Amino acid sequence: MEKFDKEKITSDLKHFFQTEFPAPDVELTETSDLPSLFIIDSLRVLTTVLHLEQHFGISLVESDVSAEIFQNLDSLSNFVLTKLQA
Amino acid sequence: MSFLGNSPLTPEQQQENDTPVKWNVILAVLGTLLVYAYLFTHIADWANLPLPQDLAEKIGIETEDIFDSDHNVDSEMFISSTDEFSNDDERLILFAIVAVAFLCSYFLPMRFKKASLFISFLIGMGVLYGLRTTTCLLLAHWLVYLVLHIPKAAQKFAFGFLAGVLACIAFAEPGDSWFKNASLISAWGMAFCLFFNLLIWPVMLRFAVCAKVLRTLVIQSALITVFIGAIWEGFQGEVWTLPLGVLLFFWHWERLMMYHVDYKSGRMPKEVSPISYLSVFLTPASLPNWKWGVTLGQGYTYLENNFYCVDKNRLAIEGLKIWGIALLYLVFNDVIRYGLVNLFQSYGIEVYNARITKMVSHYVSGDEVTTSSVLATTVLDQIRWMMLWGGSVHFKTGIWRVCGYQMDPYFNKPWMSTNLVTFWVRFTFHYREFLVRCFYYPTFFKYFKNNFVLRITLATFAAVTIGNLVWGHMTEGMFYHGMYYSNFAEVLKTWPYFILLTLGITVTELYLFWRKPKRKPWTLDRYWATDFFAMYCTIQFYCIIHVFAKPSSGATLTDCAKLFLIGFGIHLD
Repeated sequence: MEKFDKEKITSDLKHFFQTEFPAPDVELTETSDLPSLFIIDSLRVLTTVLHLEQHFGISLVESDVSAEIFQNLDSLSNFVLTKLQA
Repeated sequence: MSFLGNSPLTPEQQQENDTPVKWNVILAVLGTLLVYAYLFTHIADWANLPLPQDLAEKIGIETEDIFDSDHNVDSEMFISSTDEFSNDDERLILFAIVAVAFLCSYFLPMRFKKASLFISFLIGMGVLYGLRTTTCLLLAHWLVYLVLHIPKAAQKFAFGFLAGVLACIAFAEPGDSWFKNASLISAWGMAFCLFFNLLIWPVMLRFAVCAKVLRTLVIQSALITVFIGAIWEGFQGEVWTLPLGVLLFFWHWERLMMYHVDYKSGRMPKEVSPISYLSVFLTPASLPNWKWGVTLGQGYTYLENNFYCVDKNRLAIEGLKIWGIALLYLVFNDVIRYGLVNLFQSYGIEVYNARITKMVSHYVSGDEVTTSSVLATTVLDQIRWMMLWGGSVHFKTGIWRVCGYQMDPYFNKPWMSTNLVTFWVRFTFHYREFLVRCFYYPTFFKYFKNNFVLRITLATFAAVTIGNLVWGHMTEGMFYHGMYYSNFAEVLKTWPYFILLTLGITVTELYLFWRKPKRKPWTLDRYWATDFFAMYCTIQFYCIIHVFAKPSSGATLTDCAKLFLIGFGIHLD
């Protein structure tokens, strides 16, 4: 199974957001606000959840879908890392 | 605001947003309320000012369909289920309470702001509905609070006793002396105190399952009551009538469910003060059109994350903007509606006064209905409904905003939707949130995790068919029309509407997953015409399926299906 560390997770997530929800005018950094820039509707939330489950092999529960966790690349990769380590 | 809402705020962040006083903002808010009072109440008559209709005629505004017999604006904003005062006087009391709530929230220190909203509500409610109804509503919420948030040992006696006092005021017949009344209140207080301290709380603390069941029962009390009531009426022929306070409490059932979702998910503290709980449900924004936009405000987390999340002056200005939009809806609703009706009729298209039920009954009675009539009437009916609701629910949203909450609008430019998924987000936003949070997510995260198509389909079905039909339309229908079995059966007959909506949204979701949109809608490029086409198809689909949702009496499912097909140019007669 592929090994993920924080840097790899962040880079994978960055690639996912840039290719899945292209926004040429926005520079995506670790602290960019994902809910207002990328995850703007329910469909995008579901797309992101499905990607996290399929790509990282983690399982999400309903309470994981929150602005706190999906705030930016940093918080999201921390969340993925915690799930992978659990 | 984004789909996921705001992140939790710290008290320091909220304090930072309690920015210095700006007198121009305060004057603008109070001035706008005065304009509302001038247009929708008798204040002009009392102050010997020119009446709104006379003023409009003087400046040459078309006055037909705007004013009523007392020469002020005929409004759809009202106080539900009470006749203590005339509609105009009720509105005046409402505007006064909103002004008080705004000033308290604006000037008081942060720790008193929410309490001031609750107290403003209590005063308004007490004046508009009377002591008994207010106490009854308060009692119902207090019981929910006591079951959800078991008090600390030091509070248990007082909190249990208070429940009894409220119950006594709400239901007991008063005695003829202060001694009798004091004894009565003490007896009810002690009875409730013992009931909670010796039975309810010990059982809840000892048996987690009992606690869970009891919490679900109080949250679902509205649904349980209407179903038992309807079945009872079906078998026994007796109709239950609920005290008004209980009925008003039941109208909070969707928000209670969202509060419960927050509670179960651990996104809110288990210990919540009584004022924090009560200020979620009981604020001046609940007072106008109690039964409209009942999901506005959602549960605990949404409100908590949106309270003083930005500068309070900015929030007040955002409130003023939406009050401006509300005013347009409230004043020009009928003008636009009749204007559109006349426009279509001038082209020879019968639109039945923008009412689907009227079109269905004409069809059932043997009249010929054309495809263009079906298409136009179904769209105009939704426009009529949105404009009717738009005024009041936007005014409610404005109240939340001027009082410090960054509240999303109920309708967010639904005409910009180019597919059913975005339409679902933009049309009745808070109701959709209710369906997503209470039905869609629990299903999506639990079932068919390895099958993408089934996962999406089942989650959409749970939200759009089951949640929408049972917890939305069916329960609401009983509250509006009474707990009759026939009402229950009448709503069940509308099932094709829910199935078609589910199918439409599911297919759109799957399509958008598989075929990622490459461009942003409403970009002025060579594809802009496709945006208009997609917008029309989305809105027309949503509107035409309402043929099944609004059948007139005597119409069968076959009649509705035939009309639906006529909309597509297929005439089976």
